[in-house]
Amino acid sequence: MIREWTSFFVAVFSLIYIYELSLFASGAKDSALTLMRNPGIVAFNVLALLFTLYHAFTWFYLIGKVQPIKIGKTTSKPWQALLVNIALLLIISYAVIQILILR
Amino acid sequence: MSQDIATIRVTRYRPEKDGKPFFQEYKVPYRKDMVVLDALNYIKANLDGTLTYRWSCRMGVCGSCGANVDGVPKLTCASFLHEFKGRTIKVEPLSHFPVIKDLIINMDDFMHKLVEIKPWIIRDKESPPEDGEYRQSAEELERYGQFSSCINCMLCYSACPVYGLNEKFLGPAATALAYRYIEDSRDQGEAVRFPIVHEIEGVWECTLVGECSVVCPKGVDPMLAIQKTKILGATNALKSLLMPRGSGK
Repeated sequence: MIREWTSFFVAVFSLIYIYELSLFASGAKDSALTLMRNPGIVAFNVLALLFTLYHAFTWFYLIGKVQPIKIGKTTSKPWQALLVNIALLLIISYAVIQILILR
Repeated sequence: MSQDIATIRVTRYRPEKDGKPFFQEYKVPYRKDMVVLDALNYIKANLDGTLTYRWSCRMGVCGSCGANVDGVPKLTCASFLHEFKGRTIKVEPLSHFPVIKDLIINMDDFMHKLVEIKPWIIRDKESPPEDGEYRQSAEELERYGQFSSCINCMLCYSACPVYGLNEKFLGPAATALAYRYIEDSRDQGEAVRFPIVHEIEGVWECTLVGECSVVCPKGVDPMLAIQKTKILGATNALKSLLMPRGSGK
């Protein structure tokens, strides 16, 4: 049931994020940055990220279990689907960071 | 030498006498090789003959003795006392089912769902016996073999939070059984079963919690069956869209 608990952290993260955006939108940039740098908020974000990654990795493994790929006489294993999807996650995350954040 | 004792806290509910369920404690002699069912049988034979519960084979093949043991759906015949922490063990009726008495639950909803998915080989046209048996390769058997191991113990329904919220959900065991027949090469009943499993309260209610597969005592993996049924349904829908006249099976 741990995977179901990730939705709690995602929901709380979303509320905090919306609040931060509202501070930016209203011109209170300094307040927004102070909130984002708050050690408690940073710790919560790290925890939410860990739960989200747990959700993602267990989901990737299940993809491999539910829909194995057959090539000739060989059928893929769930751990292979996990590795491929982790690799794709890293590549896409790197691309997003490069294009949207570090430009 | 003092005897080792286990305390079994059992839910009691006699609708003709009790307004609501309550726990009753019994002290039973503890042996390392005792299972929860042994403890219940000891209670019934020696301490309280009114205790009511289901059991039959006592070896994990009939599915009769399901109960919540320390909050987890288990077969009482397959749960050793030493698996649980301490010497006090709580035994309750399976969750998400109405309770008739003590540990006996009303399984009408589950029985109805089993029949609903038509758990038999459906053929467009039956071959006469003189044509011989339906041949099936080992690979064809492997496609559905795992899902034919279900003993209808309902532990999966007790563990499923979706069924707990919505009793109209078709549920793990019924879907696994439907998938067992859909994947059986001898079966031609996809057109009959698909509308049943692909209702909103069929497979699509499942949110992939997976607890059904965790508690299954026979390794059926109903969660896998549900997801595979979803893929079949989605594939079928796509085929119907792309090939409306000839989408095949």
